[in-house]
Formats: sequence, structure tokens, C-alpha cells
Amino acid sequence: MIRYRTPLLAVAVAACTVAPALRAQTSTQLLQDGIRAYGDLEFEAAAGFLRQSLETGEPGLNNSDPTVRRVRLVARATALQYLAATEIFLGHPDSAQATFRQLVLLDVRYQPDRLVFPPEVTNVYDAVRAETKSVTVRAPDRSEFRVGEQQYELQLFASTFHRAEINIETRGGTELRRLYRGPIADSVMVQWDGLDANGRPPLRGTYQLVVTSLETDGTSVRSVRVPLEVDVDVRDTLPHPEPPADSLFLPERTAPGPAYEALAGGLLMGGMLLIMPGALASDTDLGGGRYLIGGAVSLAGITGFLTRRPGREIAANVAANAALRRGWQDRMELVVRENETRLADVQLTVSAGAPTLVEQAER
Amino acid sequence: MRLKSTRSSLALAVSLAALPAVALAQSPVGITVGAAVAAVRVNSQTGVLVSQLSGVIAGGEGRLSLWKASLDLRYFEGSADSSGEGDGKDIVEGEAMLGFRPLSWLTVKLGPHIRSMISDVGTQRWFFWEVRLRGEATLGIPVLKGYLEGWNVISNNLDVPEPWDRGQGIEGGLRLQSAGRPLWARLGYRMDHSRLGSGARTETMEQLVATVGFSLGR
Repeated sequence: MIRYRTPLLAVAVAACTVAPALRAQTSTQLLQDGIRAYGDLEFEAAAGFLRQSLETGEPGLNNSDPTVRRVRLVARATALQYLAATEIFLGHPDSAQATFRQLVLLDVRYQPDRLVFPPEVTNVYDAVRAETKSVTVRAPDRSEFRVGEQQYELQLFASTFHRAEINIETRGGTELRRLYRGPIADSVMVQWDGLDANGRPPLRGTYQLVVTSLETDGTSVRSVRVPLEVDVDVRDTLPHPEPPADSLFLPERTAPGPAYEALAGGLLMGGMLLIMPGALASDTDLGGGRYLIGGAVSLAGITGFLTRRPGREIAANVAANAALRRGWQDRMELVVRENETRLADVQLTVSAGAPTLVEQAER
Repeated sequence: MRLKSTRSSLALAVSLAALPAVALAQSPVGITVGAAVAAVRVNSQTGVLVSQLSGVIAGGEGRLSLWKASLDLRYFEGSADSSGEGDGKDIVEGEAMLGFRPLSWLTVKLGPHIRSMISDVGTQRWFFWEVRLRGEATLGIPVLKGYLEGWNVISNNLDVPEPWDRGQGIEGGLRLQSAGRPLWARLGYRMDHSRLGSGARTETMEQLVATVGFSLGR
């Protein structure tokens, strides 16, 4: 029993690794077989091959590689065209219409080649397309653009004339920006400047482009959702300049110290000069010089107190402080303007994923 | 005699001024030099005899300061005449005070104070050791200061017959320092009073002094 384990494991591993490639190869082979059978008018066999081709080719439509996705899209559209035609010749008009409806919803740009398929086939397709309201979105796989200056361009193709609404939403379904709401006849070019409804660039993250086809009464029929991976590149802003330190500001009003020093010093010294000589030499007839100098010192002290009385505004210091503040404000304004310029200079990189179709009932 | 003294004071002032100003500006050393003129009034009383002389004396003064220490030098000479019929006297006075500044506005000084009174009958020499206290205050504007200095004689050597009792003095006034320039001016009143022989004799000298000068360094 143990002997069989190793070979079985090898087969399992091989099956896992080569299965997608084999499946793609099988789907392509089945498509070729179906087209060959259709050409040989073996419609039953053609229908079988084509149905199997569609079933096996389904996973490739969600491949992350846009090139693989396109190849599978073309293969599937081709299979649907031949299958619908086969159903018509087998006398299954309902199945044919359902298949053509799948083709329209897959991509409205694919339609039966009128040189390959007879009018009885293309007429059915045209009727189905006319009654199926759907939009195909062509978005660049990756686009870099500068917000506010350049545009992210989307081209939309309509299956038939109808109204549609085009929004960019967050993953949670919150509307970020409405790009368009109105009729689409054949195709329409829509541009996004990279800003949200408030005029600000979005944050880095995953968003979705939602294109909703509407009935004439405004009700939603179905929507195509394209995931958008948005990367935001913003230049670093400059730090705001620090306000001047308190130690740099000069006192704007006179302090009480110098004024009281002048008053007390002047009165004390002047008084001492007036009194002390007479006290020391009480028995002597002194001259009047002490009155002159003592009075001058006292008067100078009083004058000094009045000129530097506490709380008086010092105009020179007020002007110097105002100049200091003005210099800081000027530097702040420069930085703010520079930062506004830098913040406005935003580059977005938008990568579009595989679109998905959501019918109204599925929402 | 008088001419010789004048020459010595002039030599002192010139030698102090000759020190390099640039070096002083950046050092803790400060030098102040000034020339002064004073109206002097001398009152001598011996018993019932009262003599009053008045005149003008002139001289110079200087200060050398280093951190909180200072040396004040002062020299004056001149003459005073009697307003009555008494004889005049020549006056020569000098002092050298060593100071210490414990606070920015207060200085304590100690030093000798010499005075000679020369008349036709002879010369009286007075030698005192004095201790002084000097205070300063800014009077409103930084360039204007008031000052007051008081002193007491702690020792003396006199060639007079009366025994010594006490001696005290006071000086005060205004000092104006020119803003941004080393020039300054001072106007002051000075009075010293000596009492001898239990009040039998008193000697009082008053001076009204005007000084202009310049300062270097601090």
C-alpha cells in the first residue's frame, strides 16, 4: 500500500500545477472543434463543444493579467456567437436569445461578423442588443496623472440608447465622486480629475468605478463594477516655523523696579543730604550747598519715577516685538503657501481590475 | 610747594589715561579719571573764636576697579580766604580708599585721608583713617545715578594740641554718564566735620564739587 503513495502524490501535484494550462488548452480546442462542427453543419455536436468550451473557459475572465483576460474574453465572445447561431439553426430561439444576451453583457463591442453569420442570426442579435441595456467600460490598466491638471480617461460603450450613471465609490459603496449621469447613445468619454466631491484628492486605497444602466424611470437595471487601485503620491510638506521664544520679546511696559528705585533712592539720598550735614555739625553754621544738591537729587528721583512710572508703554519695545511677530508671521505665510502648493501637487496612479456585472436583483 | 603737587596729580592722570583702552574694554578692569573744581568753605571754631574761609580748590580723582575691588584716589589743592580780616590758607588734600563692592549698589571703603592747611603761621597736618559706606541708585534713566557716601574717622594723627573727639563726613550728588561714550560728569556736596577738646574746637569743611571725566572698561 505504501508503495503506491509516492506515485499518487506526484500525480496529484502535477494535476494541480498543470490543470489551469490544460483547461485553457482544452477550452481553446473545444472552441475550435465547435467552430469546425458548425462549419460542417453538425449543429448538435457544435452546441456540445461550444457549451463545454464556455464552461471550461470561465475562470480566465477574472485573471489578474489583463492580457490573459482579453484573450479569454475574445474566446468566450466567439464561443457565444457560434453557440447562439447554432441554437438558431437547431430551432431554439429562446436559447439563442439568452446566449446573445450573455454576449451583449460580456462586451457590447463584440457582435456577430455579418460576413460569417447570415441575417437570420444577426437580426436576432440586433433585437437582443436593442432590448438589453448594458455598458462596457474601457479603462486603462494603469494610468498615472497629476490631480487637477491631467485626467483619468474612461470610454464607455452602450449596447443601446439608454441613461446611465457613472460614479466612483469606496469599497463600502459610499459615493466619492459622480462623473456622469445622462444618456449614452453609442459611446461616451468620461474623465476624472482625481478629486472627490469636495475637491480633495482621495486617500490611498481601493475604490470602484460603478457604471449603472438605468431604465427610463430612473430605476437601476444593472451595473458594471471596475475595481480601481488608487495610489497617492504627495510631496512632503514643510514644518511650520516655531513662534519666537518668549525670551526674545522685550518688555512692553515699564517694570515697577526702576521707578521705585529712582523714587526711593532719590528721596532717601536727597533727604540724607539735607538732614545729615546739619545733624553731624550741629554746632556749625553750614552753607547752602547741601540744599542745592540734596534738592537736585530728590527732584531727579521724583522725575525718574514719573518718567518710568510702572505700566507705562515702551514704544520702542512694542515696535521691536511687533517686528519680531511680523517676521514670524511672514515666514509662516510663506510656509503655508508652499505647503498648499505641495499639497495640490498630487499624483495618482490608478490600476483598473477586472470588471464584474451586477444585476439589479443582485445588489 | 603748590606747583610740585599739581605736577604730581597731572602725571597720575596722564599715566592712567595712557593704558590701552581696547584691552580694558574686554577686561574686568575699569579705570575712571576726572578733573574737578570745588567751591570750598572752611569753618573753624576754637572757643569763642570763629574763622570762616572760602575759596576754590581744584584737582583730580581716579578709580581703578577690578571685579568687586576698587581703589579710589583723590587729590585737591587750592586756597581759601577769610571773608573778614583773617588770613587766608592754602589747602592741600588727598585720599586713597580701598573699596569692596558686596552688592551692585553698595561699596565699603577703607583708607587714609590727608589734609594740610598752610598759613603764614605754620602748617597743620591732619591724617585720618576712615571707613566709608557708599550707595548708588539709578534715578529713572540708566545714565543718571545718585550717590551718597558717609564716613567715620577710626584713627587719626594730628599736630594740634586739643585731644581728638570724633570725625565724620558725608558726600552725595548726581552722576551723569554719557550714553555710548566714556564721558561722565558729577555734581556733589561734601562735608566733613571734626570735633576736638570735648567740643572746644571744631573744624568743618564743605565742598560743592563739579567733576568731568572719562572712564574706560567697566
